[in-house]
Amino acid sequence: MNYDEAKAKLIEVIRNRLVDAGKDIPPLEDDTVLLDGSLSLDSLEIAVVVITMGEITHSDPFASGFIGFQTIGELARLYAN
Amino acid sequence: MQTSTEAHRPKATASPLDTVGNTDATAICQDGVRVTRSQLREWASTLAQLLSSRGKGRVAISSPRADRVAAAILAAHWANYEILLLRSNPSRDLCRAWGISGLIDENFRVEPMEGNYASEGFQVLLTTSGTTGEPKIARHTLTALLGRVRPRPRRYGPARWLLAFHPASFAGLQVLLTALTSRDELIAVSELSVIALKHAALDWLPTHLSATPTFWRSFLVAAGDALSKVPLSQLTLGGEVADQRTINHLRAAFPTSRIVHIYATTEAGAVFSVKDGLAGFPVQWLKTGVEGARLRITDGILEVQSPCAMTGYLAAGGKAFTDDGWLRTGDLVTILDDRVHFLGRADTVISVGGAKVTPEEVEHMLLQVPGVLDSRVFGLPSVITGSVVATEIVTEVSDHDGLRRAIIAHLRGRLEAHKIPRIVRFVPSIPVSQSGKKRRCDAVA
Repeated sequence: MNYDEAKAKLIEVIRNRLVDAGKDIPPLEDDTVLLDGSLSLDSLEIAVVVITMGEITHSDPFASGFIGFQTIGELARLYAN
Repeated sequence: MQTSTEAHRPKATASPLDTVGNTDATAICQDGVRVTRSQLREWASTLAQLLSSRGKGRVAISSPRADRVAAAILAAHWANYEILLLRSNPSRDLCRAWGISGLIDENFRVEPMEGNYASEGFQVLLTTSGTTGEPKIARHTLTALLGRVRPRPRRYGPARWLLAFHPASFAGLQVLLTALTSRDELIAVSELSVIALKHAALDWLPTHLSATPTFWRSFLVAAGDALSKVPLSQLTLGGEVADQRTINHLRAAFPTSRIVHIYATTEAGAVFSVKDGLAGFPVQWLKTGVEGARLRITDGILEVQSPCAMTGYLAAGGKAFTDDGWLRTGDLVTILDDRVHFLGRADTVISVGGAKVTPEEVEHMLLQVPGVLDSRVFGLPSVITGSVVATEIVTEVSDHDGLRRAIIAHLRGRLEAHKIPRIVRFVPSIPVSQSGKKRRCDAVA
């Protein structure tokens, strides 16, 4: 999976979580910060996004522990080959 | 001559709690509003008088505000009451069952309740998750609570703590008591979200912060490089397993700060702290003990004897101690390279960011939702929060999206947010073990 595909998947996962929670969907861009309040997702929701991405992509960039990320682009890059 | 409000102020320094002081220095900055030490004493003194006029007993407070909880604890101490710290208001029935004779509100009024337990002295009672949904209550003496709380040496100058735990949690209470007895400032916010705490950290620049590894990881995601603007001299990790990767990330973000992880539970109290920057703890502590506590491993589970342990559960809380007086922590451990490492829970309890979730409690609630025939609640491993609560549902309803929404709507308000399954899947049947019990291990993702 390349970066654009990983980003598209990630944005879809985030959008679905926001729809399920009945939240507004702001523009989702590379530099959108995941946990600064603009997305109305809490850290548990970000945890779910990461679990769901692992299931969709069959890859776990966090297999040996936590890696820092802040934006949609940074998280998507972890799933890109 | 003493004025009436002086009556319950201690005449001499009888306990570390009395060192709260009587000055215009800030004790707690609550939601951006400074509360001085004398203000805190004034509140506590007035409340202590009110309590004393009602005899002796057990009161409760449920408030997310550290300033209110701190004053209530001081008042209970001065009036020789037991005080139960809660996160939500209990029903009148629970108050009766728990012997609560009064509920302290945020204006320090005491609403009478029907419990009538006559306390024998000051103790602090904290809730911990029970297996049936009703919390168990652990009782702690002041001596045990302050066991690992040492006033910081003055030569380090004033510290400013940011409270990242609920003040009614064991870890929150430790931070609160440390700041109070060291005469440090405590920055507290009622809304304990990562985002609110990030703003508080950047606005108030704390020097000390104690939080769960989940919180620290979320903090790194939320604040990124901005985190390094916070002048932390000490970072403490507690409440769940501190893994090496998280410690390393914090070390990189704060190269010169002290990084400590603490092993504490509501039942065992604060048992020990690890200061060498490595996950787990040295295996020789199993022989030598540490900080007055003894440690042993039985069937892969850590057991402790700690001077800081609770005196016991409130009635019907269950048996926590072995026959030979050791407290079974329920934490699975393994020895690797001269270190004892934590593996997770031995029971079915799911740890979400250090907060315990009992699957049976959630399953019980799920079965109340029309259309849910059976359910299995389990934890899915998460690199951020340790676990996320997930559920598998058996149903004959064909509209799965509708049922999912109905489930979440039903649980919201009945369960705390971290207990509500974030992942809901529909399955034809629930796997059972040979003994007929639901399979509890994590589903393969």
